[in-house]
Amino acid sequence: MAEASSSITEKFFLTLKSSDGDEFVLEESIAIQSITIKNMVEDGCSSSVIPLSKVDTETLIKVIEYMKMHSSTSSNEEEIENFDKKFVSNSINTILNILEAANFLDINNLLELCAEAVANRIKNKTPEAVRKIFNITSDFTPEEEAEIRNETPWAFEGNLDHSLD
Amino acid sequence: MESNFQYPPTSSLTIPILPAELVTEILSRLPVKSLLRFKCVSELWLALICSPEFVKTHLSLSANNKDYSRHKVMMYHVPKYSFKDCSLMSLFNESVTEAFDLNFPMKFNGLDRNKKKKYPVWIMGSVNGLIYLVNEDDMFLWNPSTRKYKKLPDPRLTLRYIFLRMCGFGYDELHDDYKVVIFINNSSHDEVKIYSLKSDSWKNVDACPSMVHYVPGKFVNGKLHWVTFTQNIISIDLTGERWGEMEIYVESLVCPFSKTKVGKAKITILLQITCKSTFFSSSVKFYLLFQKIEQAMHMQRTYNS
Repeated sequence: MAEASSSITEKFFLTLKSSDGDEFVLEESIAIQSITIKNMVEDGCSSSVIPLSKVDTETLIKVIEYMKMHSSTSSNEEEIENFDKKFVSNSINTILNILEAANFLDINNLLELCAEAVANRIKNKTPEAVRKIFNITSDFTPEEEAEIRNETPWAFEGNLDHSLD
Repeated sequence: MESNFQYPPTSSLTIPILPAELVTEILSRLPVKSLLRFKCVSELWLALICSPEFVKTHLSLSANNKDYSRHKVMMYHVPKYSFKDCSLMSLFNESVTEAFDLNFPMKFNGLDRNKKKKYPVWIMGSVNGLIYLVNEDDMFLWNPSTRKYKKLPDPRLTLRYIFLRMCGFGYDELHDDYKVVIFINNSSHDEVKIYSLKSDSWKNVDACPSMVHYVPGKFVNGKLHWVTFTQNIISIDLTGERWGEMEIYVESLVCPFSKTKVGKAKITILLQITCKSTFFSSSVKFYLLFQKIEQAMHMQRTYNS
């Protein structure tokens, strides 16, 4: 029954264009996990190519991989869990890019997955490592920073992680 | 050591500055200790971490965490006068649970251990990760995650003797306020006071309409509950600060912190109530949990000595 009905249903395809100019063709039912894309489809703006000016090719490939896995009716819970585990083992830089893309594309579960992954990766890091990872220059004077550190010196104790990934 | 650590001057990272809303998404998933450390990352991060909205978001995410990975069980270790905690998950999922020592306010407050007080401090309640502690002289609200604490002002009760006091601690959601209720309730005295953390002051409220068992009030659904001498449950609503009764009959009540045996295991009971209602029907789970807590404490004891 299910097979028969799915073969009758016509499949619609969308073309997504990354900021690098690469085009990706994707089934509409998969792509509309992105609320941003879903709204464009509903507004009738999807007949031609959908330009995603804020998402580069490398990131878009990852996002499409994620959407395919999470929409596929054939993938079971265990498969999805394993996929997610592997997905968040990407470099922290890549995950931050995907996080921004998930925010722009409005894919809530991908955003949560990436935010959780980044939090897990940075929780034991030093403030210096965090600044490097997030490309932040400290705007505190050394005295101000020392004051904050002295409020809770114990939070800076222990085996902290200096690595950038 | 940390401050001498130098990163190479050139970095291959090309991440643009992340918008504040996404930084918040990440920060709200971090443990408190990391947040305290990351306050010195930048002025923006400091402002985000310290904002009241963020504190609420962080609490709600931690409290509603589906696998309880942020929940901890705390215990008071009498022989050493110390607090320990362990993760709730490890009690269920791991064969061995490790308990850790906690810094607690009375240590900072210069408790004189040579006075040989038998029980220098009691845990009287907890809500949203805040602990209400009492010793013979003072009352404290304590946040073990930030290690901050606040000594409550003197309630000026007419009867000062602590052992006659009933008390409870809870959260008033409507006013976003933490409240402590203390009362003296015997044949000769009847006095109820409520402390509000927001106003940092005590005020009088209506007397408790029934005599209650000496057990700290249990905070459920915005109300603090006690069992009365007539085996009913009485409650005070922390928003309206009014008393009410629950249509429930308590069949038996076991004193908190009493020792009992289940099989070969010695168990400390925190609170066991059997009711003609399904509301409190999970005493078997309590047994298992507290057996494991005892084990965790025992392990730590042998490990330390």
